Amino acid sequence: MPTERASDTPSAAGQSDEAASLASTTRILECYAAGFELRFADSLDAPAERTALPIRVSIDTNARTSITAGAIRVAQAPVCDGPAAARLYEASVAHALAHLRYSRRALPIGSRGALRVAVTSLIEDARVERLLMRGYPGLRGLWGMFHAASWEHGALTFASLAARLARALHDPGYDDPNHWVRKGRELFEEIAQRADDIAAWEEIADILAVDLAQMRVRFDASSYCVEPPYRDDNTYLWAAESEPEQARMEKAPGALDQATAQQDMADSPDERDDSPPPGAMLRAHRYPEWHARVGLIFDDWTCVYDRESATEPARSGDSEMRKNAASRREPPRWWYRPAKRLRGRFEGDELDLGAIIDHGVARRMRVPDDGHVFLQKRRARPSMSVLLLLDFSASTDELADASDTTVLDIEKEAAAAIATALDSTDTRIALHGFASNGRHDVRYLRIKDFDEPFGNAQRQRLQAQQGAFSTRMGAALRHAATQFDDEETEASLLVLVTDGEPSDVDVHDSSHLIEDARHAVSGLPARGILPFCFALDSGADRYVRTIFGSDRCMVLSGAANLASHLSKVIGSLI
Amino acid sequence: MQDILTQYRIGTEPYYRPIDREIELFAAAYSRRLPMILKGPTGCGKTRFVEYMASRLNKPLVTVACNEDTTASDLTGRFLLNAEGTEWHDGPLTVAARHGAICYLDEVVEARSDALVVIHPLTDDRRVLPLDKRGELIHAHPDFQLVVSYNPGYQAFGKDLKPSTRQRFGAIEFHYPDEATEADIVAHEGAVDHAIAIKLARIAAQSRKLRGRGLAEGISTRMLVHACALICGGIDAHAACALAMTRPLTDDEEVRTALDGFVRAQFGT
Repeated sequence: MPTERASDTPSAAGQSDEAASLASTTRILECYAAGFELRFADSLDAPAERTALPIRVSIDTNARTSITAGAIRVAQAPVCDGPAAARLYEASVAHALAHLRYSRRALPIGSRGALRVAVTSLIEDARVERLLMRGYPGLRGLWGMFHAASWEHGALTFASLAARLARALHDPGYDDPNHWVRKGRELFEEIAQRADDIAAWEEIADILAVDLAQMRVRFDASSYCVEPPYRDDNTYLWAAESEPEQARMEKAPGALDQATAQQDMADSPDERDDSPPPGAMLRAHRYPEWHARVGLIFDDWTCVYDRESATEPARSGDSEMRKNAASRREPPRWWYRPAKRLRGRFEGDELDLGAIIDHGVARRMRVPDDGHVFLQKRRARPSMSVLLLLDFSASTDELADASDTTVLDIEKEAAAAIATALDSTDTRIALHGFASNGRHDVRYLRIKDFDEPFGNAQRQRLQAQQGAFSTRMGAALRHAATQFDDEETEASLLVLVTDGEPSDVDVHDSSHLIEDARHAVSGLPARGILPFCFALDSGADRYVRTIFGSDRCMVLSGAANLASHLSKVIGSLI
Repeated sequence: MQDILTQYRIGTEPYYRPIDREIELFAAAYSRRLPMILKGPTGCGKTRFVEYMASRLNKPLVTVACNEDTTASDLTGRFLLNAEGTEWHDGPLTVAARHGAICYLDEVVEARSDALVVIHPLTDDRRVLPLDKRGELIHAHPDFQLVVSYNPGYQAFGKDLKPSTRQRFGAIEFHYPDEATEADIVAHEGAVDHAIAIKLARIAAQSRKLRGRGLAEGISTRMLVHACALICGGIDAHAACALAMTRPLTDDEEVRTALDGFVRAQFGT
């Protein structure tokens, strides 16, 4: 068995590395695009047509980048990483942003031939790049890296001429002996100052297209590929000729997501909750979800099923009483707990009367004295509630890195150790867990509540847990946050133990749930809850830091001693 | 006793470029001795503004950088020992109230909110500061004004002003200036060419759009001035931007790469 596993690991690791690097590149590019976010004043179109939605970026296997309104699908670079690929992605996104900012969208093709469309697109590419370079002059160098066409080994084909004209329009230092390329540059420079005069630009494209036709340069639309490689396929500029084409474009992943999202939004969530997951005594709690792509919170988007905080019905009255008591807003406990006085200190805010008299006596008797005459007031350590939230998704059944225990076993062991250790102290601890099966079915499992002792029943409950379903972190965190509502301790600590990034069966975009979880975490401090995360996944660095912030998480590999780390964190966080 | 305050006088008037009506408003607030809150993101010029106003109003400025260990006695003063016995030392707030200065509490939310309660009697119409340890009641000098600042952008855990503290103040909100104004400021402060300044201001403007995408705050005007100083000293623009802007700003690799992209979009590859 072990040998099999060993042979499996490298390829799986390679794949996940590649996926991780793509995800991280996508995030870089989205951040990059966000920096160029359109402002209405900059765009040609009426404001109504510009949406304030953030620009989506995805990496695609197409030969060339394509753009739809608000979404850029960048062609995957031939080399998967390294600085060259990074620059190509950056140049592609910058070029697409130039189109989004300055190009007219979906012009009707009308009677234009394929050649004319190609030349017009080429001129348009150069025009929008010029416009964007006015504000971002460094882009000249970035795009210039990819203009490699040269007359020295250029044949008289359309592809070569077009690439050379593109270079001539971009690079003032490039000189091309070809008459057509020179003429194109002259015409372009003549009207370069009148960037908004659409008719003039159309006209020079027409002249150049006619010249090409007269030169009998062959043009094959099916094999033509826009050069240089960072430029997009220009489908953004032209209205699709026929219906099938339209339909194909609509199937862009971005468009699909939005369509389904709207559909889902349309059907009211109430219709869905008649189908609770098996298991009695469950109550549905609805929580919003943050949709980073559209920058909106969708209310009541997720549904968390949780049994009431106490098993026996008798306890519910008790919890009602507690609630009432809390609503009377007692002062926090430290209010009537006197601060500790530390006497005889080297420094402090007040003088210690006894010590100063001794000191005075010592001085008059000319006896050496240490001069520790100050008094310090210290507050005792605050009382604390700790909620340990365990990830019970199916992936926890897998073996942890480089060990023969499953993640679930590690979680159970650590949870049991911590709960046992804290049970006798005044630090209150609860052990809860979660797993999700789509947004309508997030299961919240209670192993030990704050008010329960960690007895045999709780131990058995903990051992009985099995990994199943997925990890919808955001919803679980929001529900866990409400568990502190009745807690009267001064500090609340929410510790999440997970084995992998947030995911769920109904979400295909891995960054969505990461962003949602981050949103959920960002709301915790306002409720007075300190979040912390332990990730038992060596690749977790990528997402846990995004979600929790670099000082609020710890990535543990293998069966590291989770319990000891946990106790250290609980001890040090306050 | 006036000589105590000499050290707190602002020598030459510092450069400050008004963004809005803040100078007029602050001067009006000062004429009524209304305590002021200045809020705004890091490095947008709050402290510079106070220095400028103190210099313009020709008043000394006593600054306290607050932190979570700042206690009431750090502000009011305490007894210290000398060879003869104990000796009272005024804290910065007491010095300002006694002798007539503007007292500026920087990053005031960092201080524990119960420590700040000592400012209450000073900030209503009583304008007195009781020093209970010393058995003294100080009536604030007619020139005394209290100014505090904080950054509402990031929430330090569990830190906020008490409503009872808040309601004693007037407030001015600061924002980063627009691109052209920021370029003017940076060009003046960093003593660089306006062309470089506008590029830096654009990078900063782009970075501020990443707020909430992994950045708590964008690149501040102060960072731009630092970058300028390096560029003036002969460091190339890329290295200067990396050292003064992108590297200090974030540890998030991906956001940093995007920020580097913004630098490249201005200064080339």
